[in-house]
Amino acid sequence: MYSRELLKGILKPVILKLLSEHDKMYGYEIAQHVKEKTEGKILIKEGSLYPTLHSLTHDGYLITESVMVGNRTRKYYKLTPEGKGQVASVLNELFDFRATLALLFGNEKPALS
Amino acid sequence: MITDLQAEQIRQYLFTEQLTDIDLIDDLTDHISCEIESLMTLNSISFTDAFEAARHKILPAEPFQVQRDTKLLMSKTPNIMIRKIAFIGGYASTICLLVAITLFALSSMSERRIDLARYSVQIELKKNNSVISEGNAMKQSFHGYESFDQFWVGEMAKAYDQLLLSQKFLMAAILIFAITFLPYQFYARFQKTPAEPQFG
Repeated sequence: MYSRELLKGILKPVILKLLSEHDKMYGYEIAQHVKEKTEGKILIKEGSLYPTLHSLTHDGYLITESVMVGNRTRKYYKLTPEGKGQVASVLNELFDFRATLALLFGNEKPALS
Repeated sequence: MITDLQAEQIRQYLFTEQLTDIDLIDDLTDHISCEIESLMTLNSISFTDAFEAARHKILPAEPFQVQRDTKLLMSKTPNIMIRKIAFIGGYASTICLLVAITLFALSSMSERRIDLARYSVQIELKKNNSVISEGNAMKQSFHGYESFDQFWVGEMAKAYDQLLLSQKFLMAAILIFAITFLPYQFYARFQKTPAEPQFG
């Protein structure tokens, strides 16, 4: 599992990317999806997932759709048109950052003990 | 699947942990419920044990931290905007104040210049033992003006304009300071200094 300092900056791009590939997802589903897709290397903690989801909703990039499951409310998160427009620029920035890191550290895994 | 009563138990637990944001409580209740259902199915354990395990796995040591972080993330943009406005306001106010002081100084210097000019004319008259009356001397050409009277009126009008402008800039400085910088100072002191979000 990666350190939380490393994960901190990529949470928004991860959420936006996932929601651009799925029509709508709820919090637990997002966390599980990331865990499975990264083979457990990226574990999104709920303490950071929900503040980020709420912040994206507040900024107008996501909207919620509530569904009752028994007597509890399940909130599905969905990209707004503004959020869809944001995905490309956020991902471009991330890819650019990855390329810049490669300039500093190289693409090969260092042979350090 | 957990029962409605058990879901309510989770919800009540979050209330006892001082969480008040209903949207967040809904999210966390559903998340914890999903985790409990998963644990109960995979490990064949009771709801109580699964709840205990899910609680430790999902929530931070202080569950209220999640709400604090949410609030912090959501108020970041307005905070930045307020700081920017306060900074620009403070800067503009300082510039206005400096211009006001400069104009006031110029106005005072003009008045002093008129006085000095008047003295110099009087001294000149005495020195030359001139028979021309002071009134006549005042009408003689002076510093590019047709007469000293004209010089005096022109310089006084300039000094008066500078003083008026200085007052306007001073008022603008005070207004900008009061509208932008002071409210920010109150706001900054009123709000508790937020910590960085405790991700993870």
